[in-house]
Amino acid sequence: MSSIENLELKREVMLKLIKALLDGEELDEIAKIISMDPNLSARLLKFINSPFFGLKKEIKSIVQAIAYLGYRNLKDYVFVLLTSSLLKNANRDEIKRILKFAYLMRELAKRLIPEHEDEAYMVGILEPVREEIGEEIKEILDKAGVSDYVIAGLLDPTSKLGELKKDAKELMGICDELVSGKEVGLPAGLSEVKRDELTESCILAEDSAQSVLSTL
Amino acid sequence: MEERVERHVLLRLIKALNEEEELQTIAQIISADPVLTAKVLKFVNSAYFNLRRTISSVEDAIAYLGYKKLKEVAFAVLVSSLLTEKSKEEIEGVLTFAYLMKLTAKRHLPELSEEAFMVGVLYPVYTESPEEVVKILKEAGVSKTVIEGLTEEKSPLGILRNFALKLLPYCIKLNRGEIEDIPVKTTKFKKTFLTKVCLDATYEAEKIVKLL
Repeated sequence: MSSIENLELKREVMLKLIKALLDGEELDEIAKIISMDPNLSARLLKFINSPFFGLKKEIKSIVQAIAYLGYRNLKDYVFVLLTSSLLKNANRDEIKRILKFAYLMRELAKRLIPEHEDEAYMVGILEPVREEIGEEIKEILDKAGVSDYVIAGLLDPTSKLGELKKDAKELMGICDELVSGKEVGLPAGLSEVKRDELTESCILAEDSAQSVLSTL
Repeated sequence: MEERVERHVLLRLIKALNEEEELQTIAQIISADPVLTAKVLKFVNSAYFNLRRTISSVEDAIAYLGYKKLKEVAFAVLVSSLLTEKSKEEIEGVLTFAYLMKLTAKRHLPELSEEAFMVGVLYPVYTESPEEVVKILKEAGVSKTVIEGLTEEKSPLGILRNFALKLLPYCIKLNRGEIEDIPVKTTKFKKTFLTKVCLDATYEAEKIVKLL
């Protein structure tokens, strides 16, 4: 990896940024928060100028980078950065697995609880952090102003997103068999979703994870 | 009578977005037209985005949406201003077709998904007045790939357009609940993928049509 990817990011700045994006704060405020961490600013500019976006001219200002991306894409990107900074020892394969799980959560939520697809993605991406640091995650997410719905999804197995997470984990375990067309038992909690749709969700999650990984 | 956005403003906006102009330039173009300003602010503050605060500045609205989404909005407004005889339902059909193009391209020609949307949204206007549309597109600085997608059947986007045209009637039936899945046979896409694409395309179209 090149030097920019190795620079340490300030976790509190990323948390503040996520909160501001969730709250739909003003553009100047978002730019100010990003500028608090020069390493984060450098990462964002490298990301926006990567071949992934194929821009005609180089973007040099943070304000311009935010405007080009839009808040939702920026939020997704910062979540990925936050997760990889929290899981310092995770290698690229692990990061890809985490991303695939997060996208699988989003795909399942789209079909089952469409009004919560963003929250499902957040639970998916933060779940490995919860597994590593336990209940401490609540304090971190409270600080970031992340909704109680997401926190419940992470910490309460009986919550809607908690149940979805359990089903998504089961599905993740059989994705390869499903995609290769093998006969395999489906998660009981996903009985409302057809086998073909689950296969499609696995494929989409894999594709999305791969494309985001290529930008990191 | 419903107020319409000046066509030359939309063309300037699309051109500026294509050329990745500075945020201030984009904001100035939008702000020069009060009807367009109102539409963009209405869209960003609509229930679909479920924002915790009201966005009242054009620059904040652009940043919230991002350039790609804003370009989709600009094209939708442009096409509805060109297809003046069509009802909202018909315009929704046009947008559904455009999103079908975009979402199928994402899987099949990912590097052209943005252009695929443009071909989809412009195709109905192109069939009515081909020369005028090509002229407009050149004026807006739209890429050659898009123009070829409209004019040449054998171009990558021309082929995809014909496929999407076959798919569209099934999508309409699917959304009306008349069929449960898509009976189109293709080696490129799975049936479940096409079913999902139909539902997603309709949802995206509904979102935008409300602001027109």
